[in-house]
Amino acid sequence: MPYPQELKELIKVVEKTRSERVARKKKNEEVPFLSLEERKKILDYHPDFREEGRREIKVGPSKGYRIAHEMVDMLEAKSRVNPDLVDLSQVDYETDVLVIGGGGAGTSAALLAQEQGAKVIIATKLRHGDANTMMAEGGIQAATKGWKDSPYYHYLDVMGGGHFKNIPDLVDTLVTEAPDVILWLGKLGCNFSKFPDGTLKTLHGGGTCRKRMHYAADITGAEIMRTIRDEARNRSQDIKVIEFSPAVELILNENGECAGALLYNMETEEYFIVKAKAVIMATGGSGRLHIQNFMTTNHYGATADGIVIAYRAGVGICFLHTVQYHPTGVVFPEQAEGILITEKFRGSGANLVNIDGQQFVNEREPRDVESAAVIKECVEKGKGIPTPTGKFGVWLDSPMIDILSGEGTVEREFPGKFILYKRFGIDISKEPMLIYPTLHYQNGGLEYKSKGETTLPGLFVAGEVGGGVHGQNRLMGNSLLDILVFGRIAGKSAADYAKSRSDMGILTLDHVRAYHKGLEEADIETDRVSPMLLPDYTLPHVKERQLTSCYVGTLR
Amino acid sequence: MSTTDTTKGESKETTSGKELVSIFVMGKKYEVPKNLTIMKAMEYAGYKYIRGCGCRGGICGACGTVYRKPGDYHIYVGLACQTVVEDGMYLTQLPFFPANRATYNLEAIGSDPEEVYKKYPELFRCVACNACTKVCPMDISVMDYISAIKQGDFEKATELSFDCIQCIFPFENYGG
Amino acid sequence: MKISYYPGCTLKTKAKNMDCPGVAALNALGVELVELPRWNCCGAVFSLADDDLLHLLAPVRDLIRVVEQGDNKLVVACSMCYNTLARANLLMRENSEKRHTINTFMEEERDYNGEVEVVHLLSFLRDEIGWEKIKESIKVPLRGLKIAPYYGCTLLRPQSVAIEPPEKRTLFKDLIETMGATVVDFPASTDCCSSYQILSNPDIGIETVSKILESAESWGAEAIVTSCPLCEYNLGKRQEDALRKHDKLKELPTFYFTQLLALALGLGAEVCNFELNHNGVVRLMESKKFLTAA
Repeated sequence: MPYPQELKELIKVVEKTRSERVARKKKNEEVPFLSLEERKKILDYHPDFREEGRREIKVGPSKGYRIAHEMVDMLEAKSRVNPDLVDLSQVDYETDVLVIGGGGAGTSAALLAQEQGAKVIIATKLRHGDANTMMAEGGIQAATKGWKDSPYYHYLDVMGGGHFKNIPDLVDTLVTEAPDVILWLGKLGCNFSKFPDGTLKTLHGGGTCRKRMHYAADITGAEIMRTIRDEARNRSQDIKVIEFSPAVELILNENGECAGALLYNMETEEYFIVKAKAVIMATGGSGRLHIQNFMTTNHYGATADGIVIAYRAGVGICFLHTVQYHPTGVVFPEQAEGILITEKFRGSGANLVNIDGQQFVNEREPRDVESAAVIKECVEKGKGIPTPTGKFGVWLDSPMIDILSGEGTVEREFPGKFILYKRFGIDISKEPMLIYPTLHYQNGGLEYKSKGETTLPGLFVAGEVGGGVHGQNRLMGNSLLDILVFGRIAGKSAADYAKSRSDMGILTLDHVRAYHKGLEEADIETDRVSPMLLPDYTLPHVKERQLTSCYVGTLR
Repeated sequence: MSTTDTTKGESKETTSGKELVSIFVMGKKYEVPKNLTIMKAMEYAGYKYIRGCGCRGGICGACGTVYRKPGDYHIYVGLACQTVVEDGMYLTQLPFFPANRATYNLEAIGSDPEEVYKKYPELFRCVACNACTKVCPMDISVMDYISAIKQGDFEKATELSFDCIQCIFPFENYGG
Repeated sequence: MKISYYPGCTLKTKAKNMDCPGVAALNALGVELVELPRWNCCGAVFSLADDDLLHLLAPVRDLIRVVEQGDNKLVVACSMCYNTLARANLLMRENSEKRHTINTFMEEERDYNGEVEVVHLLSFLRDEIGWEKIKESIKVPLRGLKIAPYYGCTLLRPQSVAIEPPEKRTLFKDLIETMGATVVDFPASTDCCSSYQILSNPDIGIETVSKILESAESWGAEAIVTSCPLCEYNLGKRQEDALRKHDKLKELPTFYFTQLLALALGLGAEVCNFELNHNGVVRLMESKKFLTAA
C-alpha cells in the first residue's frame, strides 16, 4: 500500500532537511562516527545486551547458559511424542545417511555423501529448498583472487567480525575450503556474475579488507539453491527427499550413538522411523522465534528445530547469546515487513533520519551499533515514526541516492527493491523507506568440530544450526559460504562414518525420557512442546473461537 | 488507527476500526482488512499454513496463487505473500503444480538446442500463445526465453529467466 | 542503411552458414541487417486449416516486433520463414474478421493490421541495392562456376507471396550472373525437395531428391544454390543417401546464396561456416581458386 496521508505529512519533514543533508554529504561533512567508548554505551540498547531478555537454561548439556527466553522456552519443553508409544522395532526407512533439513547445507551435504557412495535421505519440513539460503541476496565470500587476496586475509576478517571469539579451527576450515566451493558451484552450473572474459566479479562486504564477495546479481542464494537442488534431483536414484516431514527427535542406540530420527508428516500427522548409519543436522536458524518480539528476515520454517532435538540428545550449544539484527528491515508497508534492505543503500549515501528529519547516526556504523542507534532513537528518545500497524521505524532516505549519483541510480542499482516497493505504490527514488532492525541470523548454535562431528557419535552438523565459526557476529557473505563448506564436509564425514559402521545396536528414545525427567527435576512445569515446527500467526479473534478442548498435532 | 497485537513479531491486525473487504478463499467468503497480502489475509481469516507458505518475501515460490476478480474474465496469478487482496477476489492457492523435469549431466551435454529438444520436446511445439508469460508470478518473459533457447542463445535465455523462483515442482521419482 | 532482419531459428543454429555470410555480405554492401531484439519462431509452416488461427500467433507477433521497432519493412533470408511470415501478414492485411480475433486474443500486444512489408533477401538485393552496385563490389568473380539455382516451393508458391512469377523467374539468374558465374537453369528448379517427407517417408524423399540432382547434373551443373535450410538439408545432407541408391549420380555441392555472395564480395571462407555444408563444397571452391583470391 502507498504511504497514507499521515505518513506523507511526515515525509515532508524529511524533504525539508534533505537538500541540506545532501549538501553536507557532498562536502564530506558527515555525522561523526562514534568513538569506541560511545559505541560501547549505545550497545546497551542492542537486544543482545538486555539482561531482562534472557534467562538461564535449567536443563541439558549447557545448563546455566543465559540466552533469549524464546530459545530457552523451546529447550525447556517436552517432546512432541510420548516415547513409550513409539514402536522403534517398526523401521519405515533405512539409509546410510539421513540429512535433516533441505536448505543449502543439507543439500550440499547430501551431494557429497552421495559422491562417497552413500544412499541418502533428506527429510525436510517444507519443500526441498525452502530455506534461508534461498533468501540470501548479497553474496558468498572466498579468497579466489590469489594475486591480491588469500585465505589468510579472509581468516583475519572473519575473526575480526566475530570479535575474535570465533573457534579458530572452524574459521581455518571455512576460509581454506572457500575457493573450492566457488569452483564446485561453477562446475554445477551456478551463474555467478562475471566479466566478459569470464573472470568472477567480486565486491567488498562490511568488514572485509579485500573484494571477495562473489554474487549472482542480487539473488545469489536463490541461484545457489537452484543449482544444488537441481543436482540433487539429477541424482534421485541415490538421494530421496521426504518433504513436509520434519524430524522431531533423534533416535539413539543403547551405546549412546546416533542411529536415526523420528519424522513427522505434518499433513497426515503420522510419525515415521528412519534408521540411519549417520545423521546430519542442517535445520538452519531461528528467526521465526521472534526473539524479543522482533520481526525477521527469515524463512517460515526457521524455528530452531535442530537445536532443540540435538540438545535433548546431549549436544551442547554455544554463542546463542548473540543474535544478528540487521539494522534496516522493512517495517512498512506491512506486506513486506521484515524484508531486508541491503547495506548498499547506506553505502550509496542514504541517511537514517528520525521523525524531525534529523540524522541521528552515521549510516555506516557496524551492524550492531547501527541497530542499537535505531532502537534507542525509537524506544528511548521517542523520535521514531509510528506506522499504521502500531510499530515504529526511522526513515532510510533513499531519494538522496538519486540526487547524489544522478537520476535513475536507485532504479538501476536496486532493481529488486525498486520493483517491490513499486508494487505497493511507493517510488523509493522519490520517497524514503521506513525501516527498523530485524532478526537476521543466529550467530550461535550446536557445538561441533571442523569435520562436522559433534559429541554425539554419528551426528554431524552443518550450517546455521551450528555455532562457533562466526564467533559473536557474522560478516556478510560468510553464511552462504558456511553452509556450503560445512555442508560438504559433513556430507563426506557422515558417509565415511556410515561406511565404517557395522552394528547399529538397539534403537531407543531413552534420552527423551531422561530429558523429561530432567525437566521434572528442575521443577519446570510446562505444557510446552517442541520443536515448534511452524510459527503460530493465528490472531486472537480466531483463537477465541478455537474451542476444541484437546489439541493434538499441528492443526487439530 | 487500528490496534495491533505484535506479541509474535509479525504485525497482526485486529478487526476494530479497519476497513474490510470480502475475499473468497476457495469459494468461501471471509471479511479481511484491506491492504493485507493474500497470505496475511488468509491467516487473518484463521488459516494456518503448512503448504503454500515459504520465505514470505517473494523469492521462494511456495505461495503461487490463482485468482479472479468480479466482472473480469482474466485469470490472474500472483504470489500470496506479495499480492494485496481486492474486494470480491476469488482465490485458490497452488502450493504444488506437477512439472515435467529431465535428468541431465551438465558435463556431458552441449549447449545445443538439440539437447534441449531431447529433454523437453514440448518446447518445440510452442505456438507463441504467450500464456506462459502471463501466468508467471515473477513477470518473467517466459516465451522470450524459451525462444532464446530454441535459437541456441543460452546466455540470453539465462538472463531472461534469471528471476525464476521455480514455483512449480517436479514429479519424477524423487520424493520419498 | 539499416533494415530490420528476421533470421529464424534454423539460421541461428544448424544453418548459421546461411545467416553469417548473409549478414557479412550485406554489411560489405553498406546495409546493416538489424536482428529484431525479440523474436520467436515464425511458425515454421503456414497452417492451411481455415480456422487454425492459433498457429498465426507466432508470425504475427514477429511482425508486431517490427512495428515496435518503429520500422515498416522486414527482411527475411530463410525461404520458409519468409513464406510463413508473408502469408500471415497478408491474412492480417486482408481478412478483417480473423484480424480482429487474433488481435483480441493477443491483448497484451498492440493491434496489428498488416502494416509491415515482408521482403525476401533476394528481392531486397535487387530492389534496394541493385545488381549494378553489387557488380561493382564483386572482388572475387565466380568465373567458370556452373550453378543450378534451386527455388523449391516456398519462394514461388502460393502466387500471392511469390517473390516473382514462377514462369518468369530471374532473381537467382541475375544474382548468379552478377557474381560472374554461369547459370544452369534446369527443369526441376521449382520442384518440391520432398520437404518433411524425408523424415516420415524417407524412401519417397530420397527418390525426389535423386530426381532433382539428376536433373541438375544432366544440364551440366557443378553446384546447386538454394535459400532454404530444409531444401539444403534434403539436397545436401541427405545427398549421400541418394548417391548410395543411384550409381549414376555424382556428388553435387550445395550452397546457400549468401555464401556465394560473401565469397564473391571477397569476404573469404571465414564468414561462410563451410563446416556446416556437405558434399565437397570446400573442395570445389578450392579447385576454382575462389578461396585464395581475396
